[in-house]
Amino acid sequence: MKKVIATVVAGTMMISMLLSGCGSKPQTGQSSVPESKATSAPEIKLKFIKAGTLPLDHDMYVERLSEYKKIKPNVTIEMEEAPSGAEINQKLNVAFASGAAPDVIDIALSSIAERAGRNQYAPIDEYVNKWEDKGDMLESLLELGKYNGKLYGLAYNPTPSLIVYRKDFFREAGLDPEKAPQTWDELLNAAEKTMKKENGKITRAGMAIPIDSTQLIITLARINGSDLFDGSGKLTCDDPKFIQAAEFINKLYKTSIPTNMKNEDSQPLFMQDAAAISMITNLPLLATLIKNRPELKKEIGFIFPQVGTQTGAWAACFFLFMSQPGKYKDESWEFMKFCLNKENVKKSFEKYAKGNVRKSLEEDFKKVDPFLNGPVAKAISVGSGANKVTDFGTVSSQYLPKAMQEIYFEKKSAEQALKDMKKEFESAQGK
Amino acid sequence: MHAAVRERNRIRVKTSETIDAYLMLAPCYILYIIFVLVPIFETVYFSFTNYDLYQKNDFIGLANYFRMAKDSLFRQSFINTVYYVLLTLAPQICLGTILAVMFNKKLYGRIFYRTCFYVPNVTAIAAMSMVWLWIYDPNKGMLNALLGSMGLPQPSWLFDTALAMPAVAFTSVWRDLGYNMLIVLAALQGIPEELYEAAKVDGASGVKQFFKITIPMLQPTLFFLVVTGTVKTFNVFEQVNILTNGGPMNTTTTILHQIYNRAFSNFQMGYACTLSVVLIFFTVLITAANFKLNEGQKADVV
Repeated sequence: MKKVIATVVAGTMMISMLLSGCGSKPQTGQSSVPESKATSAPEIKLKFIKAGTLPLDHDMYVERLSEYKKIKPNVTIEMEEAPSGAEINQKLNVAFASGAAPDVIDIALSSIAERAGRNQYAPIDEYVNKWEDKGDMLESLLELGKYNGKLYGLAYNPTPSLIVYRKDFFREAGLDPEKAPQTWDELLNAAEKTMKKENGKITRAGMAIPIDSTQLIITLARINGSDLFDGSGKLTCDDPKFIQAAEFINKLYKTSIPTNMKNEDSQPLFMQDAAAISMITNLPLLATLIKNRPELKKEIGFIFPQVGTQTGAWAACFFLFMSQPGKYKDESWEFMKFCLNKENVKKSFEKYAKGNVRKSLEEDFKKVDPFLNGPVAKAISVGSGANKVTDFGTVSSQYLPKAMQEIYFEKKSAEQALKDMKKEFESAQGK
Repeated sequence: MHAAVRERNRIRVKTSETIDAYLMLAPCYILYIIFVLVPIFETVYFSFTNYDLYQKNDFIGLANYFRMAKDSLFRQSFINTVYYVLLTLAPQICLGTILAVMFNKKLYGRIFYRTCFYVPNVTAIAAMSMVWLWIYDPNKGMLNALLGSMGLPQPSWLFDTALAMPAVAFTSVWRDLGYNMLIVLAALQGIPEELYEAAKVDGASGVKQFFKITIPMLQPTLFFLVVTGTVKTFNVFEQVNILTNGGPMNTTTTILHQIYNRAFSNFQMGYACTLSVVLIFFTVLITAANFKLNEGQKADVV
């Protein structure tokens, strides 16, 4: 009897395992109502993945999804979030590889070359050309969403990084607080003078330089007349002007406290009064700092370094992309249009510290927070973001940080480190 | 006649029992084949391709292996992994054994101490790593605050090329210490008390008893911990990914960290499979060496 029971149990387990392996789960977005029985619009599930886990962004989308549900009750949007950078890219890579790609993606510009090049993003020219609001979108941002002549993404949040400084620390160091450093020498001088040391240890950074940051080096290189990649997509980190920028940042690094991008994205040294100058990559944090400590508003200034008359900034931008494998392209487009309608764009900068993408709202944008939005608008106008090159992500997250660390830790000179970096990258490409 | 019938019945029963046994084992084997063996064979296959997860999947022969031979970053990750194994395996087994011997005695509060040492082992590695990230923070971290209050130097831990790997290794030792302690503790319960009594009568000190009785009797358990610990430490990933992401200057990147980056960040799944094959090979080699060593030691004892 025991044997019979045991045999039945084992057999049942085997059969259930085989059946579960043979069964297929419903595809993303499939209607749960058989179409022949549906009398109203079929239920549609859209999968939406967004980069970044800031509470402010999360709240914005929760509100937006709830409003969208009222307009389109048959469309349910499932939102997932992942931290920007390596995590969101890995999440998307796994999603696309496993056939569970999202329908709409909110992610930075840096992804466009890799993913559009791999046919993961769907071109949206046809949709945008018929869109009545196309003329109101800032042209420079519309252009930014193009790759190889096709439009893939709609910019919804230009989010430049701003170099900020504390006027009170400048005053303390005997510097003119109203005169923001402009030339590289002025910037270095300010960083060295505002740095504080106790018992040989830096207790307040002159300028906070995360050891894995690449935005500052690329920005300064561009101001100096160079870039990480040239127009043909060739790596140009061994360009003498790029090397010059790296040497300059190394001098700034000597005034910094050890930190990294993960820390600076969530709790920047600048916000802890532990740095006199810093490149803030996460503007909502700066907005939060000023909100929590309003007395600091008059003590924060903005720096736009320049070489000659050339200035610049890191002008990142977040886009909405439609995925190529997604089944519900029309519905995805309706959601993207909704996110970028005039009302939502206005709400996003009034309530959620986002940038502006519409010509008709430029004045409203500046009025919301003239203190912050003026420099933001300037940074967008003079700045640029990631190179639209397939290997930008790999180079900027792996090769360049390593090369910069070799310079910071004095293992190699700037020239040697950057030349070796180029050699290693090209060797890995089989060149 | 009766004997023949009895023999036939005996064979029938034995066959039936054998079939039942295989049926009992079947779910386990099926799961093993589907989720372990098949992926291993697929990994070996993809190691000979330029598979990028999406479009490319062409057979390229040994190109990935030749590339690996010239890859300085892989070489560094291999050296880092061996360094990590040396920093973690011996300390967690030795300290675990010492703790087990201590808490095997009738100490006041020993259950509380055992729990304290074991709890990190049941904590999620990601959560544990986040906490240690805060502890190691050179500016606001608890560790440097403590060192500063005692007038000691406050190093940059995870930002220091010399200290980053030992710092990562320490978190692993802290986490796995309890597990090793628990396994050895269970084995200690099986050592006959009479051996210690006899040794005491003969005048053996506590230390001598430890080395002459406890350690030899624990040999099978310690061998198990060495084998499983080797496999585990070679596959370190979460702590590295969260604490340092392989930096500074790739001083903490490990083989599995490289495999993960190549596969899921760099669209080089084929090459990542090559590294995986090499990792499997070295893990099997070291495990085989451990078994050989253990057999040799058993032979010496005999």
